[in-house]
Amino acid sequence: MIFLKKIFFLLFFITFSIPSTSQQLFFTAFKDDASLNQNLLSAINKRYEKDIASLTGKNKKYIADIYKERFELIKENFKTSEIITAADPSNYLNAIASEILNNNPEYKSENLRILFSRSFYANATSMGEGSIFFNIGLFHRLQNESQVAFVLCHELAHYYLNHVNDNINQYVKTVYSDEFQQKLKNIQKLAYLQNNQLEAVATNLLFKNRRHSRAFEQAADSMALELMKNTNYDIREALTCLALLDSADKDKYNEDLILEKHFNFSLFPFKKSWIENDELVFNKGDDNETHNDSLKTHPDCAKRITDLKSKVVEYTKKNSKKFIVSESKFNSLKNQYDYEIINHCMKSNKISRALYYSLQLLQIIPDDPYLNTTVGQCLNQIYSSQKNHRLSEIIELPNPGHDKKYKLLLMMLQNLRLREIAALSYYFLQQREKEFVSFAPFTEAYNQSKQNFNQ
Amino acid sequence: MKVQFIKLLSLAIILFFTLQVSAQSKLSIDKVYSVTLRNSGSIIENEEIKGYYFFYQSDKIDKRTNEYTLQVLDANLNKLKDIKFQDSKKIYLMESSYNGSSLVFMFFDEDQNMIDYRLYNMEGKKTYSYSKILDRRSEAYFKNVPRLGNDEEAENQSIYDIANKGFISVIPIREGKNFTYEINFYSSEKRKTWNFNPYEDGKFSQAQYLGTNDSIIVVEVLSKAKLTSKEMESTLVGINLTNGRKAFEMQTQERGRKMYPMNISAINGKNEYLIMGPYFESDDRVLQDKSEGLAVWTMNNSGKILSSKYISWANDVSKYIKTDFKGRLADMGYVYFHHLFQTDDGKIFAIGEGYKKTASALGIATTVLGAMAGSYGRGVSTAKMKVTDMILLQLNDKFVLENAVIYDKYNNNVELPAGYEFQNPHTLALLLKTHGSFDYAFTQMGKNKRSFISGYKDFEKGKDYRGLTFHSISYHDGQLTRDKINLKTNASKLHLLPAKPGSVLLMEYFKKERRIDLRMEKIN
Repeated sequence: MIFLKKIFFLLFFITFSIPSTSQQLFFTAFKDDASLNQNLLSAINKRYEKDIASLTGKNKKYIADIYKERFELIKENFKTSEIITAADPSNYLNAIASEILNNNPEYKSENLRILFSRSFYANATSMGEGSIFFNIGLFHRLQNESQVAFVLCHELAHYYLNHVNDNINQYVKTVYSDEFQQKLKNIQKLAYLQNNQLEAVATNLLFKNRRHSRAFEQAADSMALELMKNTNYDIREALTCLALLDSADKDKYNEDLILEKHFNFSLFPFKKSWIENDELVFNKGDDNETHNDSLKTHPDCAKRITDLKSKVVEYTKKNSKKFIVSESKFNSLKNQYDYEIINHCMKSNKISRALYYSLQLLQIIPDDPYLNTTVGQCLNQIYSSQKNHRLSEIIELPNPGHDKKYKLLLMMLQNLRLREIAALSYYFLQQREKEFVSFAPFTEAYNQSKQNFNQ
Repeated sequence: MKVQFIKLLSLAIILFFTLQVSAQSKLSIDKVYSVTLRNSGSIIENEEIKGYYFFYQSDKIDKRTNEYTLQVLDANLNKLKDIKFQDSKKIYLMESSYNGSSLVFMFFDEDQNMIDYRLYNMEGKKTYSYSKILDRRSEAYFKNVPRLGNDEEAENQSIYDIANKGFISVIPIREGKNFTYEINFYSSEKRKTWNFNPYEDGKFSQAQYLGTNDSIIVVEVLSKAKLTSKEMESTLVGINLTNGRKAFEMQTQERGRKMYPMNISAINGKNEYLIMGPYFESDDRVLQDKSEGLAVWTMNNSGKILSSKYISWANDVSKYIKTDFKGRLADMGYVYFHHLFQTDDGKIFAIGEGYKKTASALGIATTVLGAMAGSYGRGVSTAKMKVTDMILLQLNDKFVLENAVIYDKYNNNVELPAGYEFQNPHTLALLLKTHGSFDYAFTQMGKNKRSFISGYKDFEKGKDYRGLTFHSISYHDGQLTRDKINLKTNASKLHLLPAKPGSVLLMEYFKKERRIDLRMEKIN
């Protein structure tokens, strides 16, 4: 709590003391705060130890195992620099959180750690032990602070309603119950149809779990409105946010990725064969259609909107605002996060992702030196990994679940020969040579591409 | 290679469940659930790997019946479909093929002594099923095939795709005293099949599918009068694709030369095709004498040779590579051709490997020591085979030799069983091929035959690296390039398998961690 308060004070100072920034020429990534990192990890560790110590009952060992997995996962997020601890963005997010919590004083903010995650997935997560991670992949798609507030209210509701821990307890209670264990023993003794019976048990368990998940989501939505109505945020944005989430699997920039435009040079023209697709594909059957609804973790957004509509109308206030903390900060973070995602993908060796997001953003901001450089850097890294037969470590293989545009890029990367990759990097950077000569990373990438292409 | 792949995967499944057992004291679903991997392999279309299948026994239904799950993966190892069905306890999945609109899975049912061809559409629904009761010889053949495995996983042995129309199967059969073959067509468009069963009086014949154009399929038939006979006759048989009737049959001889066909290449827009293979002088024995070089014939659907071209070791290859008076390549010995094919720019490539018969110090020592001890050694021959370098011949679209390249590798000595010292080197080369003693691994064709990759293994004994390596020769955009992957890693075992065009699949097994890593890597 003390820690959060400190941040909130700091926030005011920073928010009002920083002059409005004009557009930066070169992107600079957020620098994480090492001491804050350490403090957070120590708080997470304390909470974990406390949680483990408080476990009772015959199933405590199994619950402790799951808690440990969760603890390791959170630590890993810090270790891989996925969590943003830079003051500026952290303060902003916590300022929104304090608008919610200050107006809902019955809910304590101690043990809460609300942080941005550099993940590109459009998601936010309540870990159940006080950590709430707001992915920048979701934030940069949102339109206003009220939508951010709704997402936070939803995740806070999960925390206060103890959904994650209840889910863990429920699972352990079921799976390690005498009844369930007896059922497994009986199946184990069967001479025939053992796996069929097990599959039926597993499916039943999964359906039950997903049913609970959907119920938890509905409860979190309802409570989110109760929390949000006490703030000055515009509660109608809860519905626009859900509508946006419905399309969250689509990219922020909904434009086609025109690879022919990016990689067509007079001395090295684009080849159609690079994006040829003749892979083995099964048409979508109706095998699982009857089960699809039962397997969903979340109810459909359309249903969630319908469920919330009447309450939203009831709770709508005339003086509510879309922005309370700072509209300019919201917008500058949104822009910064477009780059931050690319930068994090680069650093965490998700090179095909970094290339994809760079190319997409280049279609909006074609003259950006950082993006142009990143494309070259990605291609150079792909060249070097392919040369050493380690390409699979930095690029994904095309998958039917991938977004169409991303899959097209992945297919192209699969079809390119080593020399073609070198050529693409070289010609891509060469066309911008004069403009970006003063940007050191560009020159470095360009020189590397020359070396790879023997120019 | 396939057998090892299956074994390792089975091991992975067992280990997975072992780990589950040690991790939990109470029962869990994972602990009780167990599946057995029966077969796995590649799904092939037109010599290109399009995906993989894993055939699991997923449950026992009753005394005689099992439940099976046929898992289909695409070429990027993504799971596409699980097909579940019940069947006899003794069925094996032999091969699979894809023809652009349908998949076929060829099952061998040992209980019913039957081959079952099951066709599936791209919704994963079974469309047609064709069964074939086997005679004793075919049964023996199919019982052996799963155990033999296939070291060239980019090629099928029995079932081949006919684009969007169906599949051709070529299987050996026995009719009375005749050992012959049977060709069947199984339509994927409608329930339709035809059968071609040649009348071969008193002969021992075996057929090898060479390829197809729009109207005929072509097989090469090797036959001899007696099973023990050393004389082998090569015949080309053309079969009408629509009705299964014989279109032509001809001995592979022309202008006093015999050809041993290895591949055909359809010529787009024409009822003509190319036949390629090594050739021999007319009085040579195809399987026992050294080849004189390479032959390319242009033929029509009636089996008429329209034009022919011969590239000889002595007159043509010698312009690029030094040969001796016996037609042997200097330092390399004789050449065994592994693969011969045409790319879409009209060029023809032949991938071969050198071999020599030399004296075996081990065999001689064993024989001498045995004689001193008063016995005549029955173990190792006094001769051994030395597998030498790789060779690539490149012909232009007019079938003129335009390049011949030798790819150096460390010699590989193969000791021979006693008594084999009297066999000629060419017969011994066939023995090497049968036992997988050549270093050649596989050839995979690129999309629409625009490119190819041929791979071979080598055990390097250099200063910087000592261990097994995989080498590739690639052809792309008219250029030949080479690449090398060192196969010595931290893994306890590493296997390299052919994959989709331009890639290989590396499977690393880490014994200590009980882990298998599968990664697809591109070849440069």
